Amino acid sequence: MTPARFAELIDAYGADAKRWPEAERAAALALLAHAPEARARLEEARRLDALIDAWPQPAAAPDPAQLAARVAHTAQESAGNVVPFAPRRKAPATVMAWARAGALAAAGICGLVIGMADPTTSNGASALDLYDVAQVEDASW
Amino acid sequence: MDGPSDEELMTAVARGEQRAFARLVERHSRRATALAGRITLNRADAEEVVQEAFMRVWVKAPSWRPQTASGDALFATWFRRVLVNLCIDRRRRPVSEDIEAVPEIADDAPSALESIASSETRKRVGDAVAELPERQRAALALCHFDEVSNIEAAEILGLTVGAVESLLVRARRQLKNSLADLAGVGPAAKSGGLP
Repeated sequence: MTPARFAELIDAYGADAKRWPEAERAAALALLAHAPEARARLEEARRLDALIDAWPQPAAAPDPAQLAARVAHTAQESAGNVVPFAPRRKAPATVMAWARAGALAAAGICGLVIGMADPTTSNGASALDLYDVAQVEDASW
Repeated sequence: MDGPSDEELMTAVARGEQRAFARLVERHSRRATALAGRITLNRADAEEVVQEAFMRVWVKAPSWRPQTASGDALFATWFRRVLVNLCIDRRRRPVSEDIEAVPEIADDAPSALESIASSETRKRVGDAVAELPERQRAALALCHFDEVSNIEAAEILGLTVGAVESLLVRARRQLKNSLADLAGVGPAAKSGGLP
């Protein structure tokens, strides 16, 4: 332990040996035992330590039980904010098969009806032809 | 330490055991509040930060693994790191409370207020520490009041031991300059070495 290192220790950690790095504590105490100038520096650091002890602490410790309950409650509320999507219920396979068959049959029937109703495919007359016929019939009234 | 270790309690918290969580809160809330109060210098901020830190304990317990640089299982180190980071990250609000109007909270710091506890002194010290950069204030609060080792302080602050020492030197030097008339010492010298 050099005097310079001792000064660094005191400047960083103050006068109380229990705050000094454990690995250097014994050497620092040994130097202190026979170095009056080191003791003077220690005394100066002790006065600063006493001032630091007066560092005000503005917050009162909370009641632990209330704090724990509040945290648990907040955690549950936070979890409650994330609403998961309801799982989609899968229809049974047989129902799906019938639904598909029904849809196919309905599509077929619709196609058939539309095909029969379309004048261009039923008798070769277009919709305009039918319109013209209707006009003629109206005129004849 | 009586009863299960912090690490055992964390394992229980991971299983959703509220009683284990309450034990952890009971064990650490007092020191946590004191530390947060000294870093934030604001009662409301300190209380919010402590609650947020315990919230993280609850939420992160299932994935928490005891890992430190030295391989020790130290919940306390991890928890302090969470707490200090929350304090430092919090956008600093103006100190709205008159420090003299706030009742002094007794703590178990050694020799606290034994000789110089006048309200004027506390106000001067409070003003002086408020001028410190937050990392310096955090390092000083950890090493002076929380009695953590320099190695543990480095882990909490995510710095090297040398960097922590540098923060402490600068913090104490600035306080010494600000409070020179109270400390009965001259302004701090820039360089080390004994006189």
